[in-house]
Amino acid sequence: MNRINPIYVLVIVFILALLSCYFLNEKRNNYYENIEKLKDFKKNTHNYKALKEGWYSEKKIKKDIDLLVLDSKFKDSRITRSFANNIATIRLDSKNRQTINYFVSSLMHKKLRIGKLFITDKFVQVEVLIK
Amino acid sequence: MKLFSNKNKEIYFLTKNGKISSESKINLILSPEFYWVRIFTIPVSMAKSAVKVLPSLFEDVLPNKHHDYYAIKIENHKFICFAYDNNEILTYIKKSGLNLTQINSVRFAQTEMKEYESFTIENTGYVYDSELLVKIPQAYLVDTVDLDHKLSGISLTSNKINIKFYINKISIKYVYQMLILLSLLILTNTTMYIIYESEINKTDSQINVIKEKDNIPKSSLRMNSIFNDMKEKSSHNEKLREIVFYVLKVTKETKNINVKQVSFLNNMVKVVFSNANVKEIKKHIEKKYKTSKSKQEKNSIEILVAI
Repeated sequence: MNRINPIYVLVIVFILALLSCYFLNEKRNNYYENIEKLKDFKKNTHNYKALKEGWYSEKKIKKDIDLLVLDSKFKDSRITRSFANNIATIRLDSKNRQTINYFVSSLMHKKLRIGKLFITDKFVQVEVLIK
Repeated sequence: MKLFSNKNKEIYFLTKNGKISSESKINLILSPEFYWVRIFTIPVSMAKSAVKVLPSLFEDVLPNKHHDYYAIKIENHKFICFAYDNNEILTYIKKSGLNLTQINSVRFAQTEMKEYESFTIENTGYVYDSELLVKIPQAYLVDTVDLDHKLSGISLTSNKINIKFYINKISIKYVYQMLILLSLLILTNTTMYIIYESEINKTDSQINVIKEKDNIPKSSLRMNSIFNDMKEKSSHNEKLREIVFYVLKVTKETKNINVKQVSFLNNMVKVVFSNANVKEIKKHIEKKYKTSKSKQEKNSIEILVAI
């Protein structure tokens, strides 16, 4: 004997089909959100790395300071550097205005975080943050 | 009408006028008025195969109605065949006062009453004529068994009929087609759901791999916070460069303006000019930056620009 009306089964299966469509739609939206999330994450990671490697890499900062200090254009001038508490202090003394300008220009074109800066026509003193 | 009780299941003979009052599980025997019965010789071996051809064999007496069919093999290729209206039986079961949940089985009187050549129930006579049980007026029967009060002596056969306990206006064929389609839809959706789920897991693990490889903070909030902090500090430095370059450019392009001193401290750029007046200097600087303070002393002018 068939006690269960197939229409009831059909209604239940129909509801299940609707639910499956709803859950699939939710999952599909999650999937596309995740794809966007991955894209954003890759973009943010790229920017984060670029910023960190550009402005915050201790190795690179020290290398840039070395390049600046050891530049042959300053061999006739007095240039000093010192490190203390993760701060590098560089001082250039020169009576030549061209040399001062060249030093400022070189300094400004490097990705060095400047904490303090003092420029006159006789000397330049700068404090560069290392960490 | 109660015939006898066996294992808490009572047996009742159902007629179109009969009323049944019982709370127990019921085995129902249908009076001949509920079905058509014929004996056919059909060249098939199984009763199930014979049922398939019964609609055409009953067509002469049941041309338009939708009936259900049942067959019992009695000899080789010989079948006793039944046609019945499921909905009609269901209606009369309900009319009799029974609850459908009480029904244990439904059988034809044709197969169940063979112990008696003839009998009467509720002043109606029933007799086997040429192997078929027929309903006749009681007056035609003499020395017959009156089953009204007889409570035992009937043993049920295994010939139960498959009564559908519902009335559907939609053809069962369409219902099954819809069920198949919907089931396929559910199956497809479930498969797609699993695929999306695994893709989501893949992207999550890809993110974790990048984090480990590039030494990125595990929490994106922390990463954003560090990033914003670094960006703010580096943008201050970029701004400092812009201001210094702009001041140097202005000095170079304008006569009678000389930069005496440039300094940067606590996010403030201080520029000291010589040989110029405040108005002219401020006009040039304020083309691009807002000056926060300025003062003039003899031939030198001091201007502060906030970053």
